[in-house]
Amino acid sequence: MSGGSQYAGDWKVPNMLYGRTITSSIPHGMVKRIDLSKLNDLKGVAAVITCMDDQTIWNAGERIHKRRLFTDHVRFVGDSVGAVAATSRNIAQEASELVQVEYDELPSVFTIADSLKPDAPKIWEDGNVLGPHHFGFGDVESAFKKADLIMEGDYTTSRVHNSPLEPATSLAWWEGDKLTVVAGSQNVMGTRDGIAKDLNIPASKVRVITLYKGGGFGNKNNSMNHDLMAALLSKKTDKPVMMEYSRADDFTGIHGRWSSNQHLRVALDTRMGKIIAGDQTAYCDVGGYTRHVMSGNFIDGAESYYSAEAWRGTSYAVYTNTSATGHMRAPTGPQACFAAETLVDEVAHKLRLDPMRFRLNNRVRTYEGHKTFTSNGLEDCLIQGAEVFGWKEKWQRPPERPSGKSARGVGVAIATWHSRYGKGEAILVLKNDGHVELSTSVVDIGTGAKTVMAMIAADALGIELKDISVIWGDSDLGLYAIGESGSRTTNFTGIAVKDAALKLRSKILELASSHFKVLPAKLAIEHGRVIQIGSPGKYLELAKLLEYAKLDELRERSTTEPVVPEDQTGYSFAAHFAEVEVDLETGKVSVTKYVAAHDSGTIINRLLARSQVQGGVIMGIGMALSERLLINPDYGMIQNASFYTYRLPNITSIPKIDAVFIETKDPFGTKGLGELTLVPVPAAIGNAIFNATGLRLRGLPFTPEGILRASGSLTA
Amino acid sequence: MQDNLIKVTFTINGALRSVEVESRETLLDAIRDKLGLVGAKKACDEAVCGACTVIFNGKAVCSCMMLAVEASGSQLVTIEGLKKEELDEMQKAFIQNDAEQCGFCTSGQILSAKAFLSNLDRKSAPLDEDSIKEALSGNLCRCGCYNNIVRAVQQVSRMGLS
Repeated sequence: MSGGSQYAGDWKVPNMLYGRTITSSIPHGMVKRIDLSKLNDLKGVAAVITCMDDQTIWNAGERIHKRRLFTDHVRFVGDSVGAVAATSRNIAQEASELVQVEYDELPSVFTIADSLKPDAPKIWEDGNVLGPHHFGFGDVESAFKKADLIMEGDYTTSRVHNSPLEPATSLAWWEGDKLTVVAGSQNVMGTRDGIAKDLNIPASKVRVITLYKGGGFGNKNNSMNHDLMAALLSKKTDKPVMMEYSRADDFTGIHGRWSSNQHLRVALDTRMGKIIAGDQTAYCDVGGYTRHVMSGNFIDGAESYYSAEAWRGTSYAVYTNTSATGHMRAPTGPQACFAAETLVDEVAHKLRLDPMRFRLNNRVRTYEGHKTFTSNGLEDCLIQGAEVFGWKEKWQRPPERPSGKSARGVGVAIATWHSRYGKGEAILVLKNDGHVELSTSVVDIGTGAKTVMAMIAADALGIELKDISVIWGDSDLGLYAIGESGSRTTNFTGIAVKDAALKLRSKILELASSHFKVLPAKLAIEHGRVIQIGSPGKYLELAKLLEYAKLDELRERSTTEPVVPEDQTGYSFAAHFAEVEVDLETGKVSVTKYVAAHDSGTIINRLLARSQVQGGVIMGIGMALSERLLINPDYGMIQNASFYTYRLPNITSIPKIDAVFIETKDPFGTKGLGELTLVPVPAAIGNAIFNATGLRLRGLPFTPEGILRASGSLTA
Repeated sequence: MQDNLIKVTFTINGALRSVEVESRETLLDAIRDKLGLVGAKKACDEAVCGACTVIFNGKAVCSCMMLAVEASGSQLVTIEGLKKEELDEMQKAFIQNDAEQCGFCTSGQILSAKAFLSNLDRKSAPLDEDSIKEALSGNLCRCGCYNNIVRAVQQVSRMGLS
């Protein structure tokens, strides 16, 4: 805001060196020889580490297999075989280019089809495919037998990239045997533990600091390879080392979202207008390495949108000699949603039903037919979202084919996302000046987590927000925090903060009761003072309370781990409504209006929650209309590793986005929000394009070329 | 191969400063590394994203695409130059409208907006949403703050008209 924030790349420490990676120029092969002789003539090179002299395993770098930090088996153009540290950026860059690597080149594959062939080169010893991974419930085969209509389709989603504005950056230094890493991490505790494990040192000897990070969206959940490279180079040189990735390095070397080729079938009872069952299969191109560590699936989510009696999901991860993949905002979600919500839209059209009403009638009521949701606001999301959007006035049946210069249309899509509850920790300290300090390990990557935590504490304690300060972002606090991912921060850490605040409040009132000479039940805290209920003149400032009690501070620590009962499950819900205008001469699609209705339980901070909705919708517009990593067909490298050619949404292409919050009364209070805001966006836009033009597009992104081809305007 | 260093002098945030730079050194690197003004960010280093925006002789420019030597004798304003005793009106508007999430693009957004408003002939030019968006079209935001950024700029622009 005023230039004071310290992102990793802003740090400057004495004697700092600059690090660069040495990367592979071939898509697949074994390192035969590395020749460093050309570095002899270059002044300022402090250290070189390569796969020839380092065996470090980057455990978080690959889900199933062991991935070496510096590999001797390169699996994509851009894979790291070493790193160099030098006294300036330019020298480090030059050095990295002067290192000569000889390879025994192996045949490579760049597409799912080629990678699945029986004679395909093995990217990993145990083959190129992970899976099948199953999700879903019920007996799909018998459910399909009940159908009087089955509809199906093929759907594809492309490889896209997290592309946070801050490129990957790490600074590391050692003090004796204690390592400090200034990382742009989403999870300081996870990063600390990961680095400790990889370097084989105790976690107590590693300190990770993240004060600010310029976005992540899933690509900095735990230890990153550049954290380790900085640490190792620093150890070797005995100087601090700053690893900085360029924008091109970030696109190529840091993971993005895997693609999906899907086939989906739904079984229908057309008399009742009901979805009986769904059967969804996906093949996903996961690149040379996949960092996915979650549910085990590569697409999922759609099994919980509707009251089907059965849903079967199967996903396969297929390795190719291309850049790595991993978590990106709702890693499995928008892919599954795009297929499901497009086909459901096709069903509604076939049955001549309003697509919003069709979804309303079929929406999920119980989870997988037998568990209750802790709260379920999907019905209101659809109804209120439609009302705010003006669905009834705007929706008309689509044309048979597009005509004229442009066309307008509207589309709807729903989605759900699991909302989890887990361990959180917080420390609250009342200081002798009446000020309160809240310590948690959350990192603020832009979600406003610190503010939300402070609000929870201030509210439970009865003090003003201005009297509370938050200490965060340092693993030396020793406090467990799940980090900023999985839409879990407000839940996990928020619950611990509230618990600590309520306990501290009790302590304060206990202490005050001897001063006021009444029972604690007759006291309260308001605006930072202890007051006696019903006696307006009797109050005591918190600072004075400590003074009377001769205490320097009052402290409370809380560790919480809420448990959801066996027969229940927590889910967040959403219904999105999009209006588009399609230019039929250029094929360009503009989103002209957007309403996103969300049930995430209690909303603590409306301003911040709206920002999460806007952020997810804009990322979804990018995924729908302009973002795609272009993989070179001959070498497998990313051809558009630049903002010039990887088109992020620009301010001129974004309409006003309205958020509607359905605040269901959930026993746990809050539910996750951040990821779900992206999930239904591409489907909603695709459905709007169909409504406008009669053109059903089943592949992301919806490029102008694709629109023109579909309309028959482009015959070449 | 390192050049001999060249001394460059400019007025930055109201103060006359000199730095010694290589001929190939960008203005962005010079202000970050040599002057410690880290508010301008290196996000793409090829003048697409605008995170490195500074105001150069009254115009918003990408400092990553300007050599430090080109700034000789110029008037520069960086984000650090805005805050005096209290936050600048644009900074306040950004906070009030939650126009920043991760904050990485923010200094560029604010400077582009300020340059736009100060170069505008407010009596004749209507301050509609489209003209604000056009002015900020060189500033990317991955977190998706665009709606709130427009609101913040509109808020400030209304203050100027009275």
